[in-house]
Amino acid sequence: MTEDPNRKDEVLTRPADAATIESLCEAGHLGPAACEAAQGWLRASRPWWDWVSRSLLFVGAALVLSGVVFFFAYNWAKMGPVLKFVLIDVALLACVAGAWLTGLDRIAGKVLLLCAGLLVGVLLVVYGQTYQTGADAYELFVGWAVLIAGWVLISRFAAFWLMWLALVHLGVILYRVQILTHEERWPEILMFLVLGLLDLAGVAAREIGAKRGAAWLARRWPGWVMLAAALVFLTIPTSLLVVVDEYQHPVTVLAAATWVVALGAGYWFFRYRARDLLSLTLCALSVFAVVVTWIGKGVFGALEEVWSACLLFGFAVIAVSSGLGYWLLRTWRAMARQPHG
Amino acid sequence: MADRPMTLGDVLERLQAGGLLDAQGADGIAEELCLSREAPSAPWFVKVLFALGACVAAASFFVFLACAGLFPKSAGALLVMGLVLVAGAAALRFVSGHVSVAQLSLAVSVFGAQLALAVSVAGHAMALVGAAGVVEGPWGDMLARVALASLILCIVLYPLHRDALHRFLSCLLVAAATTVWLVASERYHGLHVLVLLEAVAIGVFFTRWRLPQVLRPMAYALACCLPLTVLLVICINSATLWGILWPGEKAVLTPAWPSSAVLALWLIWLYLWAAGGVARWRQEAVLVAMVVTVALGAFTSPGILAGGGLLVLGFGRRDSRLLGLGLAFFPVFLVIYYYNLDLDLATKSYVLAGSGGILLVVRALLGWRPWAREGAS
Repeated sequence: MTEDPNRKDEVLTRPADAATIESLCEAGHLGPAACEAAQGWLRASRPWWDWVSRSLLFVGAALVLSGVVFFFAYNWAKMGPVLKFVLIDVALLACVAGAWLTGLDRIAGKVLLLCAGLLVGVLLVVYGQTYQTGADAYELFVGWAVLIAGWVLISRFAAFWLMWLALVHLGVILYRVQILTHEERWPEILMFLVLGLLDLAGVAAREIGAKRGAAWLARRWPGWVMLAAALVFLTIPTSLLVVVDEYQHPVTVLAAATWVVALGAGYWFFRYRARDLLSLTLCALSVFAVVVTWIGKGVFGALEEVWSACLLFGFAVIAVSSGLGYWLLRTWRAMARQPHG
Repeated sequence: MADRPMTLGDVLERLQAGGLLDAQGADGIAEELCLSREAPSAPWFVKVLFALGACVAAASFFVFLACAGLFPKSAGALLVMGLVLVAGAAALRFVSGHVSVAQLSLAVSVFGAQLALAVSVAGHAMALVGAAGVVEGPWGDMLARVALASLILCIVLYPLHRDALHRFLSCLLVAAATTVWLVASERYHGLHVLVLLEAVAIGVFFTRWRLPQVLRPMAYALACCLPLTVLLVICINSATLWGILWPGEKAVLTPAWPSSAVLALWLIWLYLWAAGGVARWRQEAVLVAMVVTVALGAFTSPGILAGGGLLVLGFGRRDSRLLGLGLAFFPVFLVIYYYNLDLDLATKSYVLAGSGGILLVVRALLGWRPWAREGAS
């Protein structure tokens, strides 16, 4: 029997969902009539119009912006540069004015500011096309990110932050492709390391912001996206260090060390502070990838016969995934038993 | 509309107020919810880790059997060996689910379930390869046997192999094998039948007042299959996409309208479910949604309807998995639809901006309707 009244309260203040009601019906706690009524109330309580309104706003704005991008991509020969710039500038100013008038507390204002941020990119592209500046592509993205950084900062809009982060990523990737040497391996690893650190900084910023009560950072999904990206960027060099001799370079070792530190910090934070199983699972998937790569190299390198290596490798993979899964399940159960602080 | 989402406590209170639940029953439910929180089952993202491990291990076992010369020469023997492995895996899963060795029980259970899953996946692969080759014949017939064998295995193993992940993958396999058979044997119109079956099953599963635990893997597998099948219908329907997927091959066109019609009706069904029943069809919001859906069915691609349906279901049930599926596929279908429009870039830009503008105007106009203002307050 659960005697703790706090735990009962905590459970009863959780948002209702169809699956929980179905489980109660299946366990015989609710009869068919009660179940049907509960499901009906749940559906009726959903903020349908808010949701539809937001969806129309996002899809509508995305389509209009795509139309604008396609319009300038068509590269009208008949349209003079002045007219092109005037059109973009008018649209940009309209978005900024709209955002200012609507206010950044409302979703429409945030979306308008995001549109303005995207139009800055269109303006830079048209500028590059018109004056043939000869600038590298990475400069476009870095310049774009720098120009809109102020808007991003004041937007209080997670989607705008992610878009900005994506621009910075593109700038870094293109810098590596266009500027750094291709004869050595380390610039590639350096790129992964920088991208991973950028995403980790994003995760940290989101967690700090959420902790300080920023309502726009309350939803966890931006953190999951950034953590997944960070782990991908750090797992690749770590796996390469394990498997490919050519990658044995101080930069790769540094990337692997960063991976280890990130996992350690991630475990502590998502286990004891934020208590987020999905983030822990992302960390576990990263560990799975590196450990399985390491085992694969060891097994296939040590055993001459492929059949024996395959058999051993298969069991090892099961052991690793079971071990990680077991740890995740135990952790989840332990987290569920602890009251939220 | 309440500022906060409806909680489980609110539901219990309303049930008690309506005479559908007594105080003792409400206490029992609170106890049950506390207990289920203390021993929760694995969430879907942990199952992804299990599935990944099992598939890699199954591939290794498969290669092991091939390299060790343990692969039977005849297809019949391969089929039998595959079935033996599948049966062994089900038995192993049963045993590992019931073993109890104090602290080790969870570890043993997880390892046993993982091993059983990997062996079953390898066994399925062997059995299906065996089923394909057991009788010589044209390619289409071989794939038909694979689809049939996967269906039989799914029906037999669904109650026997008591693992939600196995059940999910097994249902996914049936849909995938059927789709491959329909495409390879050039029965393209059959894809519309598949869309119909998947849509009806999803509707029945998720809109009924109770979806039993045992049927959830099947329901979610179908929810994953529907957008994928529709994606295939769109690719086959589009000469442009067909050319990208199979360069040099002649485009095979099948109309998309049967799937569009099916999915438009399906979406209307979901609206009525969300509104609280067929009797609510006269409500202005429902009528507007129905008209928009018919227009979408007539002028756009079936994918937009499929993605929209998953979003409606996910939002109505407060189900993040369905909502995530809808959110993942809806933009894909939107992009494909506009990409496929047979228009030059300039006209396409007008169409894009125009349709976006229409959505924004519709939003502004509907926002003034009494039901919208009431809903947003």
